Amino acid sequence: MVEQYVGVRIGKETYAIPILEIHEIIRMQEIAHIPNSRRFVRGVINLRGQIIAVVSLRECLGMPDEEYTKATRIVVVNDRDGVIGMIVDSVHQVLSFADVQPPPENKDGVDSVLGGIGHKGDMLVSILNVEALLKD
Amino acid sequence: MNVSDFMNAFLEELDEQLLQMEQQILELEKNGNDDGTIQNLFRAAHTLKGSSAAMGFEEMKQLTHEMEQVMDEVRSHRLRVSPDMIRLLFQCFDGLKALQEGLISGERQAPADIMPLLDELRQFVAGENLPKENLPVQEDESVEFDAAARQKAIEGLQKGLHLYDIHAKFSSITVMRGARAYVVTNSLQGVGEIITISPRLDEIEDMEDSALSSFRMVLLTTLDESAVHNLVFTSDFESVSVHPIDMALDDVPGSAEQSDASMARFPTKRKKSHSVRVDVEQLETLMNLVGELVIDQARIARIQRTFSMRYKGDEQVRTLSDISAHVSHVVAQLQENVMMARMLPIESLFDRFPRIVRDLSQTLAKDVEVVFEGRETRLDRTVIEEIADPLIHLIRNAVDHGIESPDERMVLNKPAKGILHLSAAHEDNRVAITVKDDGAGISASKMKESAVDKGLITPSEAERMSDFEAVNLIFKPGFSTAKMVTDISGRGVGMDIVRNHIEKLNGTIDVHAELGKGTTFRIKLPLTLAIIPALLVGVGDQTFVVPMNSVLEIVRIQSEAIQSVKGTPVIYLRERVMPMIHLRDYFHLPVSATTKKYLQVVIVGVAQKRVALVVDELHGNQEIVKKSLGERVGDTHGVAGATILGDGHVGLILDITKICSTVVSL
Repeated sequence: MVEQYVGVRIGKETYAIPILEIHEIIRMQEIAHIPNSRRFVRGVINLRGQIIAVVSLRECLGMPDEEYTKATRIVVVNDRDGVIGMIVDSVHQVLSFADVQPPPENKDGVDSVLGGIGHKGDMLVSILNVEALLKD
Repeated sequence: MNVSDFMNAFLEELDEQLLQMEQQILELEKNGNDDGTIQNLFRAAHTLKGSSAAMGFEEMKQLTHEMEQVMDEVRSHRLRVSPDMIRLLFQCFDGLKALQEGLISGERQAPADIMPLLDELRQFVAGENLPKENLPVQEDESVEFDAAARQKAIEGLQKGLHLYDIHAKFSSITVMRGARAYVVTNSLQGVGEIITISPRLDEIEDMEDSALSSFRMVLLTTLDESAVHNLVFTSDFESVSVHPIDMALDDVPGSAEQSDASMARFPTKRKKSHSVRVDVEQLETLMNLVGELVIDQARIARIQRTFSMRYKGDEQVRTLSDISAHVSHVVAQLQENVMMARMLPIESLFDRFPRIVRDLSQTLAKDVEVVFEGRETRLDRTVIEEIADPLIHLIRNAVDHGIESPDERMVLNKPAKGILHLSAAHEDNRVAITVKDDGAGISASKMKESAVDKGLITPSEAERMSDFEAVNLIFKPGFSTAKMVTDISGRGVGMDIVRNHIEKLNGTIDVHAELGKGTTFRIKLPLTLAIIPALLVGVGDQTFVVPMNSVLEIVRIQSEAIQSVKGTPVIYLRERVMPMIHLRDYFHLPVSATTKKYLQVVIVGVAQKRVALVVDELHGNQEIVKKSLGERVGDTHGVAGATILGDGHVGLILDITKICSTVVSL
């Protein structure tokens, strides 16, 4: 079977997250802010009795945060032994690609935040590498 | 059951038997040839031999086999317990421990490692260390009675019956010994009354032939010696001895006491108890689930309160209130029971210490006796696990630096043997553990001197310090008063780590010392770490959680009451000056727009330190279940974890120890 991805929007760009990494997608909810936490950590939420950390995908990708809207979602993905939530502007659609190419190299070598570039017709979508994204 | 289940069961048993073995070796060292101890030791070796053979652990089987052989020789009085033997037994024990560790880490020990031990054990059995003919045959050892048996014996003698001590030894080829012993006792019951029998009859039935070489009874009968002998003696036995027992009727009270004491030493542990083994993991899961229930119940109670206010007098709402009250009652009981199930007597930890003290005092040429009190005090197993290292550190310190050498003690008019006193007890909702020695104590003036030298305090601070405070300087990082760094303790990194460890468990530690008389460390710990009572406070639009055991007092003060010392805001309360922290500032939350006339202040304490935390609101208290924030969040200074509150929101648990450490003590 062809691997499937969920397309999420950050501003005008679309990023793809492997569907098998996704635990669930929830609406924005009240986040308890944690003082003195890492830059991209927005806080923790109560996910049916479980406390999970929530990060801003915008911040992770080096973009400024924007006001949350009705379309804002938290994508809960597998992370190490548990799960972690990522705030995205909106969730787009399920994607699958005819071809996935390795990510382009930049000056410092491979840009590890991208797991590859997916082709679909003439559309190019960056596939996110969640583990690398959250590395210190 | 799959292989790993077997392995787990085996490792559990191994743990148990090794602990048993260690205790019995220590006991043997103390009491010499004691049949009960030897029997227990034999049994432990035998059990391990069986299970390790079943698991295919050849080295362990061989080692336990040879140990069993030695114990068998001792049991049948062909060998006597000697210091050499104790030393060898300890070495074997260590060997077994090493093998155990090898099994746990998955590396099998090379057989060569145990070869020297095996050789030495075999030499022992061959009797090269002790000529056999020197051994006195211990036939004339007196029989032990418990109080009831003694009473019966006395009554019988008064009626003119004969009392015989019968010792029956099986011949080496006899099989089914248990059954044969049973036959003998049956026929004797027909002619008299068996008052005591050792091993006990129900034990004999379960014993394997190799473990049962002889048995001993006391019979009250009308028959004479030879008649009894004829009744018992068959070809199954190598020898049967029948001796009349003279019991001086007047010395009864004194000796009864003595035999009571000796009976108490090896309690009848074959008592049938209705218990099952439960995996620790399963208990943890159960505890977590109960934790969820506690949280949910708090939420239901909250909604019920809202409803009761909104729809006063509604039938359904009243029913809801009743249900909610009942559920919270049940949940509370459930929580208590699960917590009890996770509790262990502290014994399981204390039992490890005699060996440590023994080895240490031998290395240091000191004479130390360990005395325990409150061994049965129960506390959460996670607490027991966590407290082991700090306690071992304190014990090592006490033996190394506290208790003097026998010569020094003689000069000081103290008994040569030092006493290390360990006790545990429940105090309120906490456990108090003390480690007390009768050694040299700590000199407050030397502590001050040393602290000033090291630049930890200024001379003027030292002057103002009380003796108690000075002695407690020992917990400052980088403090060590030992003249010499020894292998055992005194690297200068000791006590502050001990304190950190205990504070991490929400506990406290302090020390009292009397120069020349001894030192006492007192530790207080919570009973459990899983569900803790907490105070909820509001700061900004967030709710923070303060563990109740660090809350000392909640006060309302006027903002004018805040003073300043060297730039630090302080308040003066109950004749104490304490630094003050505005939690808003501490967590960089936006400053409140309105200035209030009164401030809500929570006084928290860690060890001797007191700090006043300024909060916006008090939200009452709740039982909380601590959850971690996850590693992605990074090092959050001042936040120890999170919990889910009654309204479903997340509350952050304050790390009081960290917060207190950011201000100087006044």
